[in-house]
Amino acid sequence: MRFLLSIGYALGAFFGRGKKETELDEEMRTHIQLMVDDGVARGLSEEEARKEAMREFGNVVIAKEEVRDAWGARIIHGFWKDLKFAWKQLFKTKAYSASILLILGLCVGLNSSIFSGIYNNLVKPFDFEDPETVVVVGKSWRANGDAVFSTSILSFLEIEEQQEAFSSIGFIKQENIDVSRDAKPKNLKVDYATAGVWGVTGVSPLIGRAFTEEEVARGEKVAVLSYGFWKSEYGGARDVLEKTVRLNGETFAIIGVMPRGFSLMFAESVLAVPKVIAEWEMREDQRNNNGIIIIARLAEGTSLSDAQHEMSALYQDYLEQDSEAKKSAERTGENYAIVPAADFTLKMYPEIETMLYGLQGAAAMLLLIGCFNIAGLMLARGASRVPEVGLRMALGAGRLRIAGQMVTENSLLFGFGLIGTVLMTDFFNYIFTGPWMGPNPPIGRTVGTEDRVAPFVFSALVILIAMGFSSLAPVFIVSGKRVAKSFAGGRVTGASSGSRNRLQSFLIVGQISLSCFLLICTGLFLYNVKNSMNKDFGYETDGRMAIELSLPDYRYGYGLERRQFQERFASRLKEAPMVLDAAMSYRAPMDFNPIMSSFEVSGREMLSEEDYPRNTWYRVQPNFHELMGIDLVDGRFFNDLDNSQSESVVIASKSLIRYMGESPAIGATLKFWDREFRVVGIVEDTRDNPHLMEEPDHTLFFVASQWDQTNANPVVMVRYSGEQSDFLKRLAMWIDQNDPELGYKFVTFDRLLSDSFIMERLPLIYVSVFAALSIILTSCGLYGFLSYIAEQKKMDVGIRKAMGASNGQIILHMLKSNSLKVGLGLVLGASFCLLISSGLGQALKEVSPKDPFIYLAACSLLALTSFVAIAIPSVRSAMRPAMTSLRMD
Amino acid sequence: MGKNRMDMLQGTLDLLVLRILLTKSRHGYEIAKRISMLSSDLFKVGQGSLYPSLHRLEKKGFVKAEWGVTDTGRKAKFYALTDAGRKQAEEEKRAWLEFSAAIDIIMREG
Repeated sequence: MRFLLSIGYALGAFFGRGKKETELDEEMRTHIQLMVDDGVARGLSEEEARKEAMREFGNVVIAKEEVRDAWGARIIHGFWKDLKFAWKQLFKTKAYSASILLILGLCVGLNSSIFSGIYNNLVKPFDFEDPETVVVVGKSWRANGDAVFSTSILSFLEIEEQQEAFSSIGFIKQENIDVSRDAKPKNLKVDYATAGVWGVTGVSPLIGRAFTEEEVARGEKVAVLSYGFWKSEYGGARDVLEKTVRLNGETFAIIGVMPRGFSLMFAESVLAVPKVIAEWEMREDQRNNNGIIIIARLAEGTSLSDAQHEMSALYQDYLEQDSEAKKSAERTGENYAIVPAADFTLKMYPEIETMLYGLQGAAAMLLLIGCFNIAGLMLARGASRVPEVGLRMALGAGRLRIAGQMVTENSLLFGFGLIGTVLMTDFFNYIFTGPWMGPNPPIGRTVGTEDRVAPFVFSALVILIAMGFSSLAPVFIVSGKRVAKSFAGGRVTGASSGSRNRLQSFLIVGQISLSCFLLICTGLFLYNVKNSMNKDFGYETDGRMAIELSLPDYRYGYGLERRQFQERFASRLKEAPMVLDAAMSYRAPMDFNPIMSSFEVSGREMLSEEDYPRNTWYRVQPNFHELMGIDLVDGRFFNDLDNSQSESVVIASKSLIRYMGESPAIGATLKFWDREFRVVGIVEDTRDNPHLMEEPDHTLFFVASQWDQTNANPVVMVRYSGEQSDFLKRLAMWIDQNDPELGYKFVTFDRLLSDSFIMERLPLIYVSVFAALSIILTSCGLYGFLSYIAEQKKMDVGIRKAMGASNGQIILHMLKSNSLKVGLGLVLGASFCLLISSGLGQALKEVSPKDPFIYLAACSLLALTSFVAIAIPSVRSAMRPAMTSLRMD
Repeated sequence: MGKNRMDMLQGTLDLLVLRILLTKSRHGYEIAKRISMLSSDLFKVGQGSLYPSLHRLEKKGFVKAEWGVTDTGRKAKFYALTDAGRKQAEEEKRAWLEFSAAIDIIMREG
């Protein structure tokens, strides 16, 4: 407290210095005058009395100085002087200051953005209370390792009834439906949830309340909005609880708004509504209709393994009642499994982990390049200031005093850099959360300012350390013995100079090699995506697209009635402008939520798990294959005679032939979902799963009309003529005229491809940004660095020119000495890439991690950029007249 | 050694000022006269050195200063003890008495 009081007093004295000084003058004058008055009263003359008073008072100037010391404002005053000097320096060396500010902004801004993005989106995706006790319960299969998948409502009801391991449990079913406030509906993600989920999350709404079990049971139309939706659609209005939202044409009362950053599922939805469980969803044949995510909170004293044991026991109980399921489970290892909610994403998409480490590594490398850059620039500048420091030390300035001044200069620079950094962080956040990042997981959650603090501080601290060490260099370079030498020409020779040159070489080689590494990685990722996207998909993508329909049960019914509507819609669609053909399907190719299944071949003994292929499957209208341009290998396509009255038939993809046994594939009978289907056709393999899923392209096609449960997302595939943008506009108009109530979403193949390649696209965007920045940083750094070195060596250049060297010879000499360092950096960077190529190979499926063309291209690009960065200061230095170079400043 | 002596002297002056102000508020010249009078002119310090002490005590929050008028009608700055200063004065007075008594004993008996 007393310390703060002193600081306050010192600051008061500093800012009110004028008044304080006047008062001190007056106070001392009064003191002396009173002494004079006393002297006169004792009978002395005015002059004698004043002389005596002055003698007794002592030196007024010293007394005042001591009083100023007592105020404590002297340190602040010194700092203020340093600050003013630093401010002048900032503008005196504009290029240097701008380079440092740019590097700071780019490195710290990008790093804090990347690290906070990774942390929030991947490491800590759920903002729940005590998140470590929240688990996801689902199904697992031996073939899928630790991944836990969605399960069915029937399974949930059994688990909920029998479990004791959890204190609360609930499920979420995410669907895209029509959502509107009052304008035209948008197809948005909505969470259908049981009331139990609120207990699991332990998070209270920001406004209002969450729905209760009674409300769910009564099927009440109430909605809890997400923070983002509340802000965007309702402008963050406090009276939102008096408003409503329309979902699939029905009005729901808004009862609450969740806090910012809260999300029930990994992919953010706009709102949550009660999930009313329909009768049919509880039927035994819906046991494998997996589409819900169960979340639960572990009961107090229950460990993860206790809960896992209980879940396994529950599944065993079920298997005891169903011998077929038991047989299948023994083979596949199917079981209930739990995984901590925080690990769910990484378990579901293990590829993310590789991406995560890759991105962190790339971000760290960029930070390191930034440090090298700043250190290089500061060392070069420090070297040019050696004469100034030497002169000041010779005049009696203490090393601490000069170091203090250097620290002040760099603190000012750092402070300005941080302001730019905040802006840069926002800029990079915009880049990493923009629409080009795609609407689907894994990235998509917003990052709050408070979440950026830790990575921001960390990155800033790393740069600050680099700045601190390198900025103080001139103070240490000028040792006492070399003071005289240092300002007599600014060239310190001997060991210090040698070690400084080595350090400069190290910094150049270091940043070139890191940039080279990043650039090669970018090239590899770029080619990987390019080659993947250029692969034959087995179907045509030009002039084709999907329309996702949103058909709520209450309006379109269930089963036959619903399917008939879809068939009618597909048939009517053929009359729409520019439409050449339309076929109903229940999934679009490369759909992000594929449902994998398996089948048996009648008459063939299925011995091991390898005999059971994992396949994706479509239920389609007969014209689907023709519409999509899928080639027939054997047998026939579906036709109109394949309907609900005829024999159940299936078309298999070519890769499935080897599972059919010795007998011909055509005519074989497949047992699928407890039904038998005769194989009537074999088609070419098609790319049906998202690229990130490492599933083989085994596909079965069924006739939609031979299935009665059709609760999956209905999709209509369309073939059209003309421009896509024109077609989309005209089709939207046609649908809105013909069926204004219908909720739909156009899904183009560009979009499907983009989502499918999300695991390649995201790292590519990140790494491309890193690589571009590393080139900018390295070239700017090299330029700034070498400019200073050239400035420092201007005496050498002057002497060489005076001795008769031509401009060309001088340029060549400077290029040669620096090109060697650049070359060494390129070799090191490329070697490092080759060294870890086996690791890189795991993430690169369509390109060799040792592709010589990419290595060559990356090295050439960097060499060219470096050459320009080296050439400019070299030429400038060589073109300067000899006398100018030799002149002492 | 020299520095320690300086510190001690400086501290002693602060103590004397606090003690003088314990009775009433005074201006700088009055404090200097009072010290000189009470010590029978034993402490002949340069009167100017009183001001660093006064400003130091003000910075520490032990005294507060206010402009006023002297008996002779001159405008002067008057210093008065704050509550913290009063407490400090009492404490330092007690510590000094203990310290000097101990020195006294050593001087007599030693």
